[in-house]
Amino acid sequence: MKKLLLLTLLAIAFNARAQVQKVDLQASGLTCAMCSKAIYKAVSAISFVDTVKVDIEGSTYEIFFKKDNALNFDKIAGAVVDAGFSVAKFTAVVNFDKQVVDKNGLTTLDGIRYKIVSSAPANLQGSKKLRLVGKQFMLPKDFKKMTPLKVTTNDAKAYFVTIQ
Amino acid sequence: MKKQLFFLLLLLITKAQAQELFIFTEPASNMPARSFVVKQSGKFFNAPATSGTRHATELMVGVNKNLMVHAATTYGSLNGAPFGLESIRAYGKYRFFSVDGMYSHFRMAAFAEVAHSNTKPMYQELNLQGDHSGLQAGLVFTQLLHKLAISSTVSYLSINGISKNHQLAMGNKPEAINYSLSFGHLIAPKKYTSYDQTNVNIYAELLGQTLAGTKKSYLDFAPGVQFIFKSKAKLNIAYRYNLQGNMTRMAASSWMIGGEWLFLNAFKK
Repeated sequence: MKKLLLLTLLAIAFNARAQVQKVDLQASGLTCAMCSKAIYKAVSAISFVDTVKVDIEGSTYEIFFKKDNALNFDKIAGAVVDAGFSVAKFTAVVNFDKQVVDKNGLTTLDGIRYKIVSSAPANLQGSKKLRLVGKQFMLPKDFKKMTPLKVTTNDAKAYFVTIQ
Repeated sequence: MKKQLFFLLLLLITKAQAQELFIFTEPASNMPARSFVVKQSGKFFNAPATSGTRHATELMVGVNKNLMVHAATTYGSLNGAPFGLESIRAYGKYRFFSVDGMYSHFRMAAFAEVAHSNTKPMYQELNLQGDHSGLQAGLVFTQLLHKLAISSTVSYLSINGISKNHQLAMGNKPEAINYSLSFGHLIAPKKYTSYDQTNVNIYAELLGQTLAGTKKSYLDFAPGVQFIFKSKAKLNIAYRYNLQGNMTRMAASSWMIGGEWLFLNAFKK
């Protein structure tokens, strides 16, 4: 019985993060390889991160995840900040299967709550690029363009995103 | 002086990426959190009044994204003195302002340091790099503009202990203002493809001091070259010489050679 329970839990867990295929992150505030390596090392050290592919010149990081942990986008952005830099652009590539979006643009997949702030369809289907909107996920000048964002109490712990 | 200006202009107009890992000064940026650096350097003085070498070992730790601390010691043998420990020093820097653009940033930091030295004070020049005991506090401003890194430091230095008595006996106030202006840029590689590429950076730093009482001053120019291996080890080579000044100093010029090793994510969160 215990085994079965474990298997069920594993299956749930496995399912849980298969839907976020990867995160494309662009870091800002740096131009040196040593700085880029500090970010690479900090992101690679996060428990749920599997591999990171880097384009040093473009300051972009393609992040892939382990199959057995819950994701936390804030932790990824936090690692970049701890390395001494900022996030310029944060895009999650997420796989949807007839995902229902409510009238407020809210939807939850694998324990991650998203609020779509661009025009949201009633259903999401297939692989979508979701760009995270927030001070910790974009350049200050890009964030200024996004405001004012309407935030309600229902949006607690939701990642604000636009569909790319 | 014309040569130095030409060199600075060359830095300003050259198309390359900037570096702010300066050889003689600290930028307003800090080390990555939970990482540390071991730095070993030697200064070689070649002036008629002074001969010998001074070595420094320094440990630098990134406590969090805004705070870093250093602990340092200097030792050596100058002017025929037996080889031995000269001084110990502690330093802390706090980054309190930061605006990052895509390939740029402007940052400000405040720093403070305290040093204790065993050496016999002999000159009017004041420093916490081995010669004097005292306190220093100041501000650092650093602008990175993709092709150019410019950093400036202004600080107040107060000397105490036997050095203070020596300065008073010479009719000086045991205080000084230090200032610096540093430029740096990357000359190789032309295109980044891997962390294993060797980076070559060149630097030009202006380092100055004005004594509080006598208003005597110096201004040094320090061109340097830096090699970074595998994005974790640095080799610094620099020559520092007096452009103008009227205070007595240990040496009008010196060579500095040093190495640094960076250990990323050395401490657990």
